[in-house]
Amino acid sequence: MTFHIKKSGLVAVALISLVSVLSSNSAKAATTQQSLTLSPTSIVQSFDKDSSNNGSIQVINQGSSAYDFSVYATPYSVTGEEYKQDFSPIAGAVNIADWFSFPSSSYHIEPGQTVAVPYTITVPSGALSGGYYGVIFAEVKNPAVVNGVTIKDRLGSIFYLTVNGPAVNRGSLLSWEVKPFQKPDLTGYVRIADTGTLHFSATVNATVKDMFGFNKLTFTSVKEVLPQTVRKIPVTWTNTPFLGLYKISGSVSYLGKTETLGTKYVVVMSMVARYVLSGLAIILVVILTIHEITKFRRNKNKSKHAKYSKKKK
Amino acid sequence: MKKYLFILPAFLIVFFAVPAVIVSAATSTTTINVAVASVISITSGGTLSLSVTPSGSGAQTVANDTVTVSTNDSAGYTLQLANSSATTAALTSGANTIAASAGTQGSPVVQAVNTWGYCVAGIGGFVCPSSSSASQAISATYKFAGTPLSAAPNTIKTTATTATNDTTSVWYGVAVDTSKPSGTYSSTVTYTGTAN
Repeated sequence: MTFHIKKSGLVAVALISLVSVLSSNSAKAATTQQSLTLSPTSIVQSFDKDSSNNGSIQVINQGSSAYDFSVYATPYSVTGEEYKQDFSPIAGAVNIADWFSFPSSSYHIEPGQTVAVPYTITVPSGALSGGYYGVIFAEVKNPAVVNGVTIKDRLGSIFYLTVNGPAVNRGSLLSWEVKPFQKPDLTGYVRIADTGTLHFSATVNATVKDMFGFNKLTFTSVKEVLPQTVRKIPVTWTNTPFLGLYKISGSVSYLGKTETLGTKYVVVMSMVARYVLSGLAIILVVILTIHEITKFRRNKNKSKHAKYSKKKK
Repeated sequence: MKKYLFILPAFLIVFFAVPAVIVSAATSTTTINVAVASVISITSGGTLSLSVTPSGSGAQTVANDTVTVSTNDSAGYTLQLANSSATTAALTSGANTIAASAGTQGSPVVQAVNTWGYCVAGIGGFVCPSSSSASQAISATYKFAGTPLSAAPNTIKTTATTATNDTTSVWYGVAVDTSKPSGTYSSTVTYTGTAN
């Protein structure tokens, strides 16, 4: 009996060891979830030269575990019409990160807690009038793992700053592009150019209707357009049905004016729908071909038979 | 009796009409303005363990991390991925390293032996796994890219409008053969979320 218990115990230990070894060799997904929330997502402010302003951003922990986070500022610029964001200093340009200061660069936050992170923006006396752009980041400080990948989450609050003085506010709607044949999701693009020295916000409103006039989508998006750039603003209907004929129209408002985005008709067809329709078309062609061949043969037989009958007569 | 009949209408006026007049006289209009602040939030795993038992021809381990972003900003959000290092994207263990994949987001590649990388389905040319696996033969199907250095992050998602619990699955893969010294290799990846 004792032997059996010992034997069973040994088997159990062996099994546990085996499971431990196997689990240690397996790919493990992350076990703890951390949550970082930042507010506001952007701030628009105007300054006189040689002035400063205090403010704060809110960092919220909606997760279940406490963590430390750091705060710091970087410049903000974009490249391309898709506005690929860049947070690196540009050689020869003003590094706006130097205008930001924080009483502390590191904070601790408990679950459910909100931490107000104060900051001061000081505009130097030598700053030229115009638009300046930066980001305050809040970044979670995770202890580094020894085996694998440590994930760091960071969120940015974008600052659109104007240094008062002579400036040019100028922009134009370049195009409203909607391809007539699309795969889901239905997407159109509004291209707006800022040809001045200051940023401006553009509000795009669009509606998508089906052919019976039923509203399928009401879209609104407000985007900042930076000086000397063209911004391509997507108007996307997520989860568009796989097949349909729609019309899309809208308007864009910027710099105190509103321009109409004319009605465009779009055929939306998923790849599956395209294959099915192509298959049906092929089947139809085959049926028609067979029908025509049969008809031709029948006519040929008829004429043969008629000839034979004539000869017999 | 008749002369007291006026009492009932008088009573009704006093108790219903007069207060109504008084109330309407005291009514004022209050406009309530509510300012809803813009917020953006991000949730991810924090860490990802990638253990692999190497083989002569190379063994591959793949695992994923789910990044969840929400924002009430009508401009939508952009999610970027980069290695936290400005100088190396390799997994390091002291002086030993597992190099970053030579693939890029635009041209990801089948994982070479002794490399690691990431994969996000639906963007670039990525072909990602659908489930985690450990120490398997290197897949000729999956295509990975090396994590870019911190100065040049890759955009892995851009949305056009508000988002609620929008998830992005980021797969990581490592492939090693027996020539790689045993040890604990690590690297750090930063997810950056900003409104558009």
